[in-house]
Amino acid sequence: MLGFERTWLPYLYLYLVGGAIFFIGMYIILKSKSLNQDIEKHKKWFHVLIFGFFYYMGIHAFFIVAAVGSNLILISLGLVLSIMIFHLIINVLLVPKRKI
Amino acid sequence: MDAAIQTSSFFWVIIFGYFALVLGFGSFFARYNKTTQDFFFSGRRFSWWLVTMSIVATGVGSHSFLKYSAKAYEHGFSSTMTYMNDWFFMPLFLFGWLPIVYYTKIRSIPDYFERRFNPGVRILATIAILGYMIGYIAIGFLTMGKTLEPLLGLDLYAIIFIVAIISGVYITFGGQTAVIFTDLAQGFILIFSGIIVFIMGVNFVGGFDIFWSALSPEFKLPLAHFNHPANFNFVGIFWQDGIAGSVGFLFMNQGLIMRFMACKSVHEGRKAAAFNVLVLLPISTVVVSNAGWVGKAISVVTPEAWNTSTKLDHVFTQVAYLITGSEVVFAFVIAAVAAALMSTVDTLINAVAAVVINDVYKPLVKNKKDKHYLKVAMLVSAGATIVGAVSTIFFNNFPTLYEAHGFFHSTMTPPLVVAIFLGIFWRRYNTPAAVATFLGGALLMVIGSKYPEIFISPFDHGIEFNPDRPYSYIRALYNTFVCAGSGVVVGLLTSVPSEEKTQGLTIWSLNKAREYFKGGTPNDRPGKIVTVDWSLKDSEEDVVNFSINDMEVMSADVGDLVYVSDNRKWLGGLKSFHSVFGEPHNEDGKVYINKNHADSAMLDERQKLCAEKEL
Repeated sequence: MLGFERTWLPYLYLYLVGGAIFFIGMYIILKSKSLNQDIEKHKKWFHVLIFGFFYYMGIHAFFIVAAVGSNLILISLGLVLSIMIFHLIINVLLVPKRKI
Repeated sequence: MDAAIQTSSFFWVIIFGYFALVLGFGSFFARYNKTTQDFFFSGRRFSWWLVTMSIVATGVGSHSFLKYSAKAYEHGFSSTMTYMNDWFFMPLFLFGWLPIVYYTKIRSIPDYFERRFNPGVRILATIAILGYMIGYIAIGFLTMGKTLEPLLGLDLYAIIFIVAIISGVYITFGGQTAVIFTDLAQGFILIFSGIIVFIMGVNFVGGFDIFWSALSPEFKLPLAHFNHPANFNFVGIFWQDGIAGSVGFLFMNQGLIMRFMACKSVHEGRKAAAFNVLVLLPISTVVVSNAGWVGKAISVVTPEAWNTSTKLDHVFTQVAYLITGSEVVFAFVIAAVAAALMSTVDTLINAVAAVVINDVYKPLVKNKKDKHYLKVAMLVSAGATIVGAVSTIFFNNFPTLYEAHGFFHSTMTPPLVVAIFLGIFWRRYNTPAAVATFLGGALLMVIGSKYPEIFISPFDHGIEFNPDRPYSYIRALYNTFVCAGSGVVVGLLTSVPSEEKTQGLTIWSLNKAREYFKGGTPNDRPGKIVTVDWSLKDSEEDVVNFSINDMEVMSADVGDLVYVSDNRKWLGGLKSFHSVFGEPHNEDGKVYINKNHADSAMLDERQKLCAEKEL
C-alpha cells in the first residue's frame, strides 16, 4: 500500500504552492490591466490561462489514480479532461468572434 | 578504451550525413543575416508555429534524453515532473515579462537591468547570465560526449572536442535565422524519434499490457516521494526545477527570449509559449523519458537481454541499441539526440554572443559599423563554444547529468530570477535593492553552502542531510529566499524610484512600453488582414503606401506600424518585413514599398503580400 507521502501529498503541495503562485500571477496581470478583459483577444487568453492550470491538475490526478488503480475515478477524470479540452477548442479557439 | 556498443561504418555514414545536412540547412538560411538585428533576432518576423517547434528542440535539449532516461529508469514516471510544472508562471510570463522585453526592444536581459536600474546592475546581471549560459552549454557538450562514449570508445573529452567544433561552425556563420530553421526541422525529428523509441520499446517487451503490468504502481506515479531519497524527491525538485529552473528557463534564458523576440508580434509569442507548454511539453516528457521506462520493463520481462552493468547516463543509448534492431533506425535515433544537442547549444551560443556584443563589447567599442559588430559576434560565438567545451570538466564531477543540472539550477538562477521578478512586478524595487539581491544574496548563498546544516536545514522539508552533496535541490528554496529577502529589505528601507525611471519597464506601465515601441499612441482598433500586389517606389523612407480602402479594412492610420509578408503562410514569415503606414493612395489592392523592404525580406516578384496593422 502506497502511503500518503508517496501519492497525494506531493500533488497537494504542487497545486497549493504552485496554485498560489499562479493565482497571484493572475491577480497581478488583471490588476495592472496587462491582461485587459475589455480586449477580445485577452478574454480568450484569460480562458486559456485558467484552462492550463486545471488541465495540468487533471493530468497529474489522472496518472496518480491510474497508478494506484480505481477505474471508475480514472474514467471520470478522463471524461472531465476531455470535456475541458473540447470546451477550449470549440468555444475559445475555433469561434473567434463569439461572445464568451 | 573499447566501444561497449559495436557499430559498422554504415552507422557513421548516416550520422555524418545527418550532420552535413544540418550544416547545409543552417548555411542556407545564413543568407538572411544582413545585420546584427537579423543575426540575433531574425528581424522579428516569424509566425508562432515556427517558433514553438524550434523551442521544442531548444527546450528538450540533448541533456534531456540522457538525464531523464536515467531518472526514469531509476524512479519511474516521476521523471516527468520537471516538464509538467511550468504553467504556474505562465500568467506572469505571457502578460508580464514577454511584452516588456518585446516592447522595450531590449537587446539582452542585462540591457533591461541598465534601463530599469543603472550600468552597474547591468554588469552584475551580465556576469550572472553569462555564467548561466556557459554552464548550460557545458552540460550540452557533456551530454553529447556521454551519448557517444559507449559507441565510439574514445576518451570523453576527445568526443566533446569534435562535437564542439561541428556545433561551433554552423552557429558561428548561421545566426538566429539558421538556428530557428534548423531547430524547426530538429524539433520534428526529436519528437518523431522519441515516439519511435517508445513504440518499438513497448513492442520489444511484448505489447502495452505486458509493459504496463511489468512496472510497479510506485514506478508509475507521476510525482516522486515527498521528501525521500535525498537525490530524487518531490519537494526538492519542485523548488529546484519547478521554481528556479522553470523561471530561469522562461525568464532569464537569453536564448529563449531571443526566440520569442523573433516572433512577428507579442500575440504570436504568447501563442508559441502557450502551445509549447500545453501541447508540446507533455509530449516531450514522454519522448525524453520513455527509454528509461522501457529499460526497466525490459529488465523485468527479459532480464537476460538487459546489461546490468549499464551506467545510468547510458540507459538511453543502451535501450535504443537493444530495441531498434536495425542499424539504420539506431543511427537515426542517435542522430536525433545529436540534433537535440545542437539545438540547445546553438541557441545558447548565439545568446552568449548577443550578451557579449550588446553588454560588453558595444559599451567599450562604440560607433563602429554594423558589419564590424557582426564579425565580432561570429568570433564570440566561436569563443563561447570553446569556453563551454572546457567547462565540461567541472560538471563531469557529478554522479549523473541530472544532479549536475540540478545543482547548476539551484545555484545559478536565484539571484537573476529574483531581480527580474522584483524588477518587473514591484515598483518600489530600486537600484540599491537590486545590488543587494545580487551581492547580498550571493554572499548568503555562499554562507548557506558552507554551513548547510545551520542555514539550509530550516528549509529542508524533512529531506535527509547527505554530507557529500548537501541539499542538492532544496537549496534552491534557501537561495531564492535569501536573494528575495535581501532585495525586499533594502527596497523597503531605501527611497522609492521615481515614476519616470520605471516607465514602461514594469507590468504597471505596459502601455508606456507600447507607446515607446511604436513611437506614438497605439492604435488598438481591431482590423483585418489584406492581400495586395506590390510595386517598388523610388524612396528610401521606411514607409509603405496602401490605398485608403485597404487602410480602412486594416483599421490603420498614417504612422501606425504594419507587418507585411509573403502570402504563402507555410513560410512562417521568413519573407517579411515591418514598416510604417505612409500617406494612402487610391489604387485598391496595391502597396508601394521601397528596395530596402524588398531586399531585406527577399520578396519574390510574382507573389502577393499579406499586410496587417501591428499597433
